[in-house]
Amino acid sequence: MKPTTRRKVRRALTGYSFLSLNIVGFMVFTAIPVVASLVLAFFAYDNITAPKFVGVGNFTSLLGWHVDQTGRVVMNDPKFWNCLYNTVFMMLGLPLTMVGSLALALALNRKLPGTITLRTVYYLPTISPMIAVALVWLWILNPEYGLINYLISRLGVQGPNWLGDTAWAKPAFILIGTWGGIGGFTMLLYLAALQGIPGVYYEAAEIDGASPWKRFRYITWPLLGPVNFFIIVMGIIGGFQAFGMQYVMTSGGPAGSTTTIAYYIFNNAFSFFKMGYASAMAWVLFFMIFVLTILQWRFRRRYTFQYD
Amino acid sequence: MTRYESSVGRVILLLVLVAFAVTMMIPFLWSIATSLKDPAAVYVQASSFIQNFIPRDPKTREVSIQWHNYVDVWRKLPLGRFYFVSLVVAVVTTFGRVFTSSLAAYAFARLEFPGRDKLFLLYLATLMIPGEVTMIPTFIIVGKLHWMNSYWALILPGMFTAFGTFMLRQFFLTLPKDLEDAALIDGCSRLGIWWRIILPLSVPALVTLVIFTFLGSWNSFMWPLIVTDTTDMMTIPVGLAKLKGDYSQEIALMLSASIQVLIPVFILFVACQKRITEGIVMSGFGGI
Amino acid sequence: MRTETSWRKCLCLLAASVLVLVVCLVTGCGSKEEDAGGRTIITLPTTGGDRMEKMYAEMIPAFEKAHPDVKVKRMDVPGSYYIKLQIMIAAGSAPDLAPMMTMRLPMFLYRNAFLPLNDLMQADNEFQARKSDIYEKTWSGFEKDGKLYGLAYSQNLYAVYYNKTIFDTYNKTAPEGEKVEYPNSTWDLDKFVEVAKKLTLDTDGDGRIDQYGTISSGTPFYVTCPILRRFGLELFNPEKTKCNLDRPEAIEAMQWYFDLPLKYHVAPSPVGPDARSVGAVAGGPQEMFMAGRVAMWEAESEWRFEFNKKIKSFEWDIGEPPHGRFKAAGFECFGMSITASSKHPKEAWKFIGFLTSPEGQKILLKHEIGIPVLKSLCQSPEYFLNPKDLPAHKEVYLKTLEYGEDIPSLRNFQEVESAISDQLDWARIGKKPTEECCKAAAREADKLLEENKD
Repeated sequence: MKPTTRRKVRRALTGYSFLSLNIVGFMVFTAIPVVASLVLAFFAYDNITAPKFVGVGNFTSLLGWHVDQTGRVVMNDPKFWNCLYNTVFMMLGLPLTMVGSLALALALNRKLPGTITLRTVYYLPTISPMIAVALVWLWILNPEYGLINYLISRLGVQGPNWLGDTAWAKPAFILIGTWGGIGGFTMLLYLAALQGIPGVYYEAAEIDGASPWKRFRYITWPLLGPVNFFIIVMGIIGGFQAFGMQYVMTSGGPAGSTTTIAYYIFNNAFSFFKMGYASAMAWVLFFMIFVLTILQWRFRRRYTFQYD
Repeated sequence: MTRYESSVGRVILLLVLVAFAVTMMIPFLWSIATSLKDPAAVYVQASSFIQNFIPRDPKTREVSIQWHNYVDVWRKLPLGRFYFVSLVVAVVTTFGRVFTSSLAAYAFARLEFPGRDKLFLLYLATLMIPGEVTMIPTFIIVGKLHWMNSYWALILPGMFTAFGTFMLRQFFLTLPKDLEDAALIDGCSRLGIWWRIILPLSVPALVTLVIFTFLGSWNSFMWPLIVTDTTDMMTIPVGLAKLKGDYSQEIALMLSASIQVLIPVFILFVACQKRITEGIVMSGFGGI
Repeated sequence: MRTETSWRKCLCLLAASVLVLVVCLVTGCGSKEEDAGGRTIITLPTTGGDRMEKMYAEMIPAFEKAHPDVKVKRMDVPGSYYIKLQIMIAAGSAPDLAPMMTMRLPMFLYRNAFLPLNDLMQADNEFQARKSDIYEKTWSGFEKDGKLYGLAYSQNLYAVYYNKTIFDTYNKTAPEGEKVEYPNSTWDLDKFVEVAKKLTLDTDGDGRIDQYGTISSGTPFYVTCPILRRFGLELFNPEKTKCNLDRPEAIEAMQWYFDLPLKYHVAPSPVGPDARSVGAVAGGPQEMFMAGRVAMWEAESEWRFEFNKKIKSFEWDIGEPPHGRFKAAGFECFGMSITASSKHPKEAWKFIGFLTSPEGQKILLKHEIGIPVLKSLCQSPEYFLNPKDLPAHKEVYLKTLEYGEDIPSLRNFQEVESAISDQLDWARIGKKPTEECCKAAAREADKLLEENKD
């Protein structure tokens, strides 16, 4: 008994000492505020007067429904669902970004001259401050003299008022997100992952006469499974928390069509003085992301390729 | 890696890539051009597309490049001080985060101890909560520690998010265990393994985390805004916001400042990205 | 098999982290309390860009000279000021003073964030002596239940900015009966549209309109309320339990406003083949006016400083807005309040008193901050009415001051404004009929006004 317990204690001690530097800071600056926000979700809090306990009131106001005077069933907070729709819509850029980044990574993985310069240029959008990117895109998307409508007009068609039209504002943000993301972090991850695929696999495949497409489909793609998983999970988390560009460029308009869920949470927390409600929303969001991640995991398990 | 196609194919590919890169550059050319314009000329409509890239005097329409914008912004704001603060904060945050996260990530990936998986789940969960609802509790904590308007307030909360630990743990999981087992048999301590085996093998992941963390700290606005009260503790994004009032905006100056502050990040990126593909790389992110 | 060295290494790691923690806690203390030399310190958050910086650089030493027992400590908030204020109040570290715009004030006021000033004002004899020089109207924004919770130190008044050069150019080539006069109070709404139509032109002959008679700026309260008043209606009923947007006069009013771009085509339209981008946060109507493409724009006085600096290619001035069935205009004040948790209300009041004193007001005027609240300064050709500072005819502001009204004060103002705007936006971009949008907006507002009752 004694040796095993001693080993267990030693193992625990080793584990926790490795964690020690990180975990104290993590607990103080990350975990405690997160738990505090969970507690707040059960209160009505306006940042100024003391919080008032409301039990699950915030959650029913958020997710529940009621019957209005005309007898119709109506959601308690239709704007929440609208924002959710906006957010999911604008996250449609994620698959586009992944495909584009992968294509770029594949292209830049060869020994072409100037790949390092090219990679740096592609990464420029990611390292620029958001305000500069926002200003530039406001100009590009200007319906009168912006770059995009100028190019479209050469084809003889009149471009729309991108950011002022409910039908085009969301696609505009998808465009902006894809443009910025395509040469950025995702591309770097793919590059790093591609480097790790041993060349022998490709050589063997070529000897067997496999075409480039077959090589991609049966070697590259499956070996990228794990990095795809990481990118999708972080992409979903990021997509659900993004609102900076919308805040600066359209203030969530027109007619609330570009208000993301994170923007709505922000507004509730600091403009509408409903911090408790905002916290409840954040936790409902967490629940959604968590479920999506678990689904991803189960789904991915079947496609993940591991060496050992 | 792959066999090279014919020269024609390579040339075409290169041309496509370059064309794409040019489209990426247009916004920056516009930023540079606008930063060189007279503040009054920023709003005057250009007569054709190309004219947007040429700074002109608003009245006389002659070409007039306002180089002084780049100097003016240093006179208007203590940009040097903002640079210094931002640099200190970004460097310390990056170093601290990579260091502590890699230790913790190794623990989660390879060591066994009670509560390991539940703890990791807690780490993951914190990533999924948006910052707006945790700002007030974090602010209260920083206040209680008497760290308001100090470097610690700017550095520490950013150092301890779960992102670094999550990313590195995924990466460490893919490293082959045999190397570590062999080292253990030879009497190497866990710490030694971490230092001599794991870290060198993880250079690309570490470098990616460095870029990510540095960038996040460099461009962070909301949190530094809340915890700083005086101009001498402001980071660059907060400091640049001083150019914008409720009823005024110095677009040309802001752009010239934004371009100038890109430089350290740019240098870091160029220095780092070589390491991503030339370091010893293992198999990406296998398994969970 | 573990060796002794690994044990020690782990312990070392643990010890190191504890040490680092202790070091952090001890050395991390932020800026120490400065030795005030026996003076009381009051904290003042400042925001608002370059001019405010320079103003405070002169104002604070001047105040400290006049009141040697008080020291003012500035907290610089370059952006998101109201958010930081809330966070500070929530954390219990609120500053003593809080600058406030009357538009944002009610949300804090109804939550008891501020101290009433009446007793402090009564006790201040110097203030009582000159109190009659302050425009009474500037007090109303800070009043609640008969008490005053802040004092205005500068006003934001509304008028119609007009591009004189556009008018003059048109008049040069127009036949005698067609000439247009500059905007003035004799105009009614139809005349306004008539003039705007004449000045909406294609100036460079490329077949596309590039100059507009006027410009519209979305549907926030400070734009819609004056328009509704011109048609004889307030946005809410006096008890603030019902929104009046579903009334026929309101629908008529909003229809007129949305017709400007969509039907009369005198303002840039957000949709259609000639769509223009206007009204976003970083690209508002002021930019088009500054580019010399808009003949008339009704907006607040604060823009005049930016125009002074940035408009070089044309001349501009201000005129009175048109009247509908009634005269109406916007009105707003910048003021200062004392937070409820302040430990030095008396000293904080001294600063507020100084801001509204002739000396303080002159400093504000010198640094181009707002419009003074003192009648003596506003009516003096030496100070405010000096025609050398553009716009030349600032007496127009004094006229709109007479009938200008602030927006209704609501506990949940931003939420209601956001809900109403979301609905009205559909009509603004012409995708839904105005009547339907107004009714939907009124419904949403009524729901939120329920929460306002207490």
